[in-house]
Parts: sequence; C-alpha cells; structure tokens
Amino acid sequence: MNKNNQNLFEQLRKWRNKAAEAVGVKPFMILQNSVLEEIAKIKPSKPEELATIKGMGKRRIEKYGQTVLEIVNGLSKEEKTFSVSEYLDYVNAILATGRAVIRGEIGRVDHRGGYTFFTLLDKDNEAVINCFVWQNKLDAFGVELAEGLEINVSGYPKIYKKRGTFSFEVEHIGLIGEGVLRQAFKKLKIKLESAGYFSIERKKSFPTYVESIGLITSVYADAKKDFLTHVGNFGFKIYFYDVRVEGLYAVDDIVSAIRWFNESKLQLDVLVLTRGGGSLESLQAFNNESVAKAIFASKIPVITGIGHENDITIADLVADLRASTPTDAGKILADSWKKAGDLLTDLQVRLPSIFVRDIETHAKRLEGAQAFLEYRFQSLLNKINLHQQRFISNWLRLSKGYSLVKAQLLTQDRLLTNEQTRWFKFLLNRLTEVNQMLSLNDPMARLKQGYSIVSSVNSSKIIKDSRQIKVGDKLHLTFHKGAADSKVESLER
Amino acid sequence: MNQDTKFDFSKAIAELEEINRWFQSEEIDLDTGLAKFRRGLELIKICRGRLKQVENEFIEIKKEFSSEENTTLEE
Repeated sequence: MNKNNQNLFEQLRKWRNKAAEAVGVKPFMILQNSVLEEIAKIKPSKPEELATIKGMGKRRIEKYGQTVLEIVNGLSKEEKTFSVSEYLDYVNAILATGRAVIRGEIGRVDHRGGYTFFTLLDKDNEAVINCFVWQNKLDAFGVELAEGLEINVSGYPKIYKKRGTFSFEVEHIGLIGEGVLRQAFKKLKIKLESAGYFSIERKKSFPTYVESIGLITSVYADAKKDFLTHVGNFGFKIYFYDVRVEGLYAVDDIVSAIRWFNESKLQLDVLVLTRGGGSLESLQAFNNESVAKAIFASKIPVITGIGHENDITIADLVADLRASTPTDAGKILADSWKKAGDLLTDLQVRLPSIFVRDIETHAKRLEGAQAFLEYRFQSLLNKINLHQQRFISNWLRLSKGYSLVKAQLLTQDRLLTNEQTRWFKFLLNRLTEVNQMLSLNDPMARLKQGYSIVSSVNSSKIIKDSRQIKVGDKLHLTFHKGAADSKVESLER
Repeated sequence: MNQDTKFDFSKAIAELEEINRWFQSEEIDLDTGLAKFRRGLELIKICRGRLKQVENEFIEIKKEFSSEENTTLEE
C-alpha cells in the first residue's frame, strides 16, 4: 500500500470505528478492513464504482456509501454540490450510524401497505418520533401495537426521501411490563405449538459423551462461569460465541450465533444456549420467534439453560433438551463423563470375566482332551515298545538259532565233505580188495591153474566128496578150456 | 476443517457394550471371541487414554473471521 492509500485507509478506518462505537457493534460489522483497503486502493467516485468492491452490498452502499465516497473524494475535492437525492443519501448514511434503542409509549398506529407506522411518545416531555416497521417483521414479533402500550424499539433514523420526513426504522420491538410480556409469551407459545415446534418427535438426540460444544452466551454473564465450572474438565472442545443475552440486540446476536455454528465445519456435538435468571423482560430474547426459529432450524442439537429453575422460555420449549439453569446444563454434559471411568472398569471387568470363563471351559476341555490323547498315545507307545522288545528278543533268539543252525550246517557240511572223501577212498579200497578177492576166488581163474570142476551129470551138483558118487556114475569135467564126460571106475574112500 | 480423524467416545462405548452383549448372548466361537475380546481391550485402552485428557480446549470465536453475510447488520 502506498502512502496516499495508507492515509485514506486510516481515515476510512477512523470513521468506521467511530460509526461502530456509536451503534455499539464491532467495527468489522460496519465494514471489514479488507473492504476499506480495497476502497483506499480503487478510490471510487460514484456509488456504482463502490458496488464493484467485494463486501459492499446494496444495503451497505445505501447505509455508508455516501459517507465513504465523501471521505474518498473529500481528499481530492474542495467542495461538492449535492442534488437533493444525493444529499439525503449522504445524510441517511450518517444517520445510519445512529442505531439506538428508544423507550416510549405508542401513540397513533397506522397499518399501510407493507408497513406499520406509529408514533412513539414521551408523555412527560411532550416529545414525539415517527416510527415505521415492516409489516412482516411486526408479524414475526408477535406484538400487537396498541395505543398507550409502552415499548422499547431498536432501529436507526432515516429521512424518507419522497417526503423529506424524518422517521425511525424499527428493527426490533421489546415489550415492557409483566402482563404484556406474559400475554405475548402465551400467544407465541400457542402459535409455535400448533406449528409443531415443540413436538418431541423432532427433538434431536446428542451423543452420550459430548466432546465438542458450541457455547452461546455473554462473555460477561455469570451463566458462562456457572456453565464452565459445572461442565468440568473432561477434555471438551468448547467454542465460545459471545452474544448479548439481554436487550433488543440480543435476538440478532443469538440468531447469528446459531447460524454461524451450523454453517461452520466444526462438527459440534451440541450447542448450549444459556443465560442466568432475570425478569420476563430481560429474558425477552429467549421468548422471541426468530430465536425459536433459529433453534428449530439448527442441525446441531441445542441445549438451553436459561434463567432460574422455574423459568421456562420459548427457547427452552423448542430446544432439543432443556436444562433448568446454566449450572444444570454443565452438569448434564459432565455427568456421563464422570461415570465413564467406572463404566469402563465395569465393561472391562465384564469383558474378560465372560471371555475368560469361556476360555476356561474350553481350556479344561482341551486339557482333558490333551490328557486323554497323551494317555492313549502313551499306552500305544507302551504297546509298541512291548512289541518292539518282543520282536527284538525274538529276533535275537531267531538270529541266534539261525547262527547255530548255520554253524551246525557248516560243521555238518564240513564233516560230510570229509566223510565223503574218506568213504569214497574206503569204498574204493574195498572194491579193489573185493575185486582182488573175487578175482582170486573166481573158479574159472583156478581152472587156468589146472584145476577142473567135477559135477554130476545127473544132479548137476559139483562133486566135492567121493561119497557123493558111486562106480559107474557119469561125471562132467570142466576145464580151463573145454569140458569132458567120464565114468567112475573106482572109488577111494 | 480442524478435525483430524476424530475418536468418538460415545461410539467406542456403544461398541464395547455391543461386544459384552455378544459375549453374553451368542454361542461363542473361539476365534471371533478372541478377536472381539482383543477389540474390547483396545477400545478400553483408547477410552481410558481419552479420559486422561482432562483439560478443556476453549476457543473463542473471532467474529472478524466470519464472512460479512454472517454479521448482524446484513440481512
């Protein structure tokens, strides 16, 4: 930003801050710094140029346009001549900063077109101001304007350009006096009840363990302290939106806060709308239709803790949960957390006991099964061992027997072999002997030596004794070669 | 915007209660049971961790950051 721009920006900022102070709002609500910077840079000279700047809506140009242009161009121009219209715009822009709350008694009331005109009087001082309010706004207030009724109005002054008349544009109307307020309360209650605003079916539930809270109350209120004290420290994320909780500006503040939280991406579990006790008059903002509608429209569940225990406001009736007081609202949110430790212990105790019990039965069964298997296995093993031992001993015996037999066989074999040879030799000798003996005893061989064999011709018997024969017997003689027959002639005995 | 993967205490408690119910009512299959048992212990551990974190976080909404449409003067 160059120096020229910087100067202009500072001037704009000074005006903006004064204007905000005069109305009792935060400076950014008039115009944001970024908008002022842009104005200082562009230096618009006409409302149309102003309209090109982001953040300068129609309403803002209407309210502040003239003043802003004056500040911008006043730096370069010595004098400006206005048209009537321009001047009235200029004056209205200045007047717009005169937002105020006025208390007075209603005088004449006149409904005309989309407006209701009425006069507000100070009877004692004989002062009067002309007021007008949009008819639809008036309907939303649920207030019936009647002569002699004392009210508070908030709004800002304005010159009606076509007539050049001064009037006060009413933004909100506040009632004064218990009776009137009670009446208005009843009326609004019936209206909203029949529209289903209080029905239990549409009430939203919020988590048992709320973790993030959008807190809507006044930074100055005891309610804030009470709530924070009793909600305790359970690691809550508390987003605090400061609003006025009393007076005519409170309604807009509360409605904005509820909308803001709903439009934000904070993923809040709950909104807490709270303020301390007070008269019916001071609780008016919570008996307001706009606030009721904002609560009704909220996607985030709303808990209210408004006033004393016995105060029930429209906001309480629309809310998803009504806590009796700010303290009670805190306690409600803290309660489940306070018990969470014990609950966890309980859950933990139950969890293992249930499971362990089950595991134990399973384990016992398993142990039983294992023991049984081990037993069976052992007995099988024993049997196998027994058989093995038997087998081994049998095997030993068998192999011993086999060796024995084998050895015996070998011996026998050896013996047999020896015997055989011996026998063979023996037999051979015997045979030779026998053969020799035979050949010696062969009668035929004897014949060779000159012996003869004498046999009887009659009996064919070999004759070895002379008594076998008698004289005259015929004898057969066998020689080595050939034979002969002879006749006995004499005997020698 | 500002939320990282948020642990939901309410959901965790609900899941724990569900696990306990399961153990009471079902014919318990050992594998599933063991898995549920472990999950239960894990949840209890996380929940206890969350309970230990006691300090609140207090964030004041700076309305300057909100867009002008949210401010009270604009309709």
